[in-house]
Amino acid sequence: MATSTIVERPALVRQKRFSETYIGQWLTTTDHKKIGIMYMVTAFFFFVVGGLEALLIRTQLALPDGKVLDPQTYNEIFTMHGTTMIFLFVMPMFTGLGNYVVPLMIGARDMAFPRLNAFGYWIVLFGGLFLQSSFLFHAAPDGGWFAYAPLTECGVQGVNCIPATPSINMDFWALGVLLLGISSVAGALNFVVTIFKLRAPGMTINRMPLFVWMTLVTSFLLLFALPSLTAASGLLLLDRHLGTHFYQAAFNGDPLLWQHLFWSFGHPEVYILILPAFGIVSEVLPVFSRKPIFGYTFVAWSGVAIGFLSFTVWAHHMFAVGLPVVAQAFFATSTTLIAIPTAVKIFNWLATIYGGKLSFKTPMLFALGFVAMFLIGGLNGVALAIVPFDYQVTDSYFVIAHLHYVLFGGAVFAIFAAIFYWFPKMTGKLLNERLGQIQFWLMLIGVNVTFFPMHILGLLGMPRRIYTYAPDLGWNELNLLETVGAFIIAAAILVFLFNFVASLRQGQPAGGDPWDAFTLEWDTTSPPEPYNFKTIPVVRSRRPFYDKKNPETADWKVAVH
Amino acid sequence: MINEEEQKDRPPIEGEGLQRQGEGRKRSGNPGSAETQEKSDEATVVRGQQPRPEAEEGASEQSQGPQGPQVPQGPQVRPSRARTPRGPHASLWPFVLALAIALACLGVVTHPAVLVIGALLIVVAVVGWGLERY
Repeated sequence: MATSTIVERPALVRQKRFSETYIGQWLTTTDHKKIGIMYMVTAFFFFVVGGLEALLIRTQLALPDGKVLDPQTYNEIFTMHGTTMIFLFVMPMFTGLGNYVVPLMIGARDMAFPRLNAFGYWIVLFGGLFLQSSFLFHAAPDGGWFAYAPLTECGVQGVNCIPATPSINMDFWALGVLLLGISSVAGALNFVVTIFKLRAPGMTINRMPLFVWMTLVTSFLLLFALPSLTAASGLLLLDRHLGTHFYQAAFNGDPLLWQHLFWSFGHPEVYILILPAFGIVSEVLPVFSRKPIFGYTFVAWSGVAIGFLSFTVWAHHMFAVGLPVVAQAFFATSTTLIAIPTAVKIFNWLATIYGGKLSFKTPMLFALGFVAMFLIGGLNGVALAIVPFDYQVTDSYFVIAHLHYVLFGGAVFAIFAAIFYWFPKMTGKLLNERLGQIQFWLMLIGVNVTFFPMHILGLLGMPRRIYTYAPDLGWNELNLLETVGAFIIAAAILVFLFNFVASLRQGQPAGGDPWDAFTLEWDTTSPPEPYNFKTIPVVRSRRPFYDKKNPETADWKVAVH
Repeated sequence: MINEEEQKDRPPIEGEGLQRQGEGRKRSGNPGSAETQEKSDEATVVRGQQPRPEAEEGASEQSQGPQGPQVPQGPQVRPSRARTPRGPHASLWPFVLALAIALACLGVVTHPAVLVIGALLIVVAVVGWGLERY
């Protein structure tokens, strides 16, 4: 019988590690660009969720005596709409954009703490899923995105404390924001260290791109504002479960303590949501005006001023609670003061585009739309700083109009400007320009049709958070109009989603520098290699990539910095 | 932190290539006055205080200036193969830790058993993260 010997040969191909598989690459990545993309995709997913919630709200309010939702579900939907849009869309979206762009803009290879960066992302994802999973338990938060205690704690009956929200709805909220706070602190620390320690040679603080500046200020705001929310949520959980009563006056607590703690986070939070948008617009406008930003120093330092002032205005959310007159005067003044650095920015943006060779590509349209919409939101914000006027419209739809002009007309327009501007960097392809323009005009019309009538409804006395209304109050037509506007915005988002998928599959190749841009992120391949720059660039002015492309007219030769 | 961890693999900054390659020669025992000069040049650029004019007009990756990258003045050294830079190391522990914390929170509002699983997983993730070696 013939026998043969099989000789084992050493394997030439080693088995793939988990981190090298497709799934493993995403689960284990510490690359700031991949993490940035994951942040943005996750944030956009939650934007769609929050948008669907908004459509439910508007459908319920389209006609008087609406019965689309029951009152409890309506409370849950508007609470989750606000919570989702603020904590799960705008904040993670800016963190994602910052993650992707900031290291490239400053000529760094990655964020300072790559694993902490990954941890921050995963916490956002799981925190978001945790919050949204509350619907599965029929226990979605229902006390508003601000969760006012003692309404979320207990009511008093004799000497007993009767839980005002006995189910676990508000526990989901308190734990959810605690989770998301961990992510925000991790991200903010990472940005601060990255920006201070990993800038390319020659990139002094006063040569940093303005988006980097605003990310830095935002990071400091997060670090100083979030502890207040964390403390407030912790105390609320103690009140709800361990019998303490920090917020209940009948048990020697302070019923206004929550509002002070919440809004001393909540108003800096508004600037946390809008300062990165200022940074984006300050990058886009100069490129599409073919001019350097006008008044760089003022634009940068006005952001710092806004950051400081944002900690001094929180009680303008509380004028109606009965603050002392001196406190009202102080907070009205500080709120009005914050309009000054904001106006400085707007005038500088206008001066930047004045006399420029304007190119109305989609990023530019969204940036200009931002300026116009944010201006409206800023002006009606100043109106709300006037105490007697605030008394009249507090907790009315006027306030809803204000915050949506700031956060949708402002932050969301800037986010789309950024997506259209940096999509070629991330994918190497251009988003379709015509679809982009259709989306912009639909959004501009939709935003104004939805939110402008809210001013009038507020003046007519329609309260916010109202479940439904009687048909004889004179609010019918305006509410119907707003609902139509909300669906126009939804159509705009559908156009974007189609554009995104189509461009990703068959988009026009962008080349390395589709906008003839100024800053360092374009001074590498699109999309960049994992290490960003093969050689770290050296910076001599605020527009290093412009300098490289135009050595004869480089900024450092012709301008004094 | 990335800058410490990646120090070994960090490729040259613009115009720094020859100095860093010269570093290898330094390590192989070629000290001298040129080395001192090299060292001070490199330190200046890495710290980013005052970029050298020669390096500033050098091109990086995508496009180059009209005259191409200029070689900084310095000792004549033999060119060597540049190391390919690489990104930070992958790790599963951030994912596991985040999942564990979310699970623990879910346990707080649902069932103590879930809380215990989450807490145990947190311990595992923290230890795993701490002991991870590259």
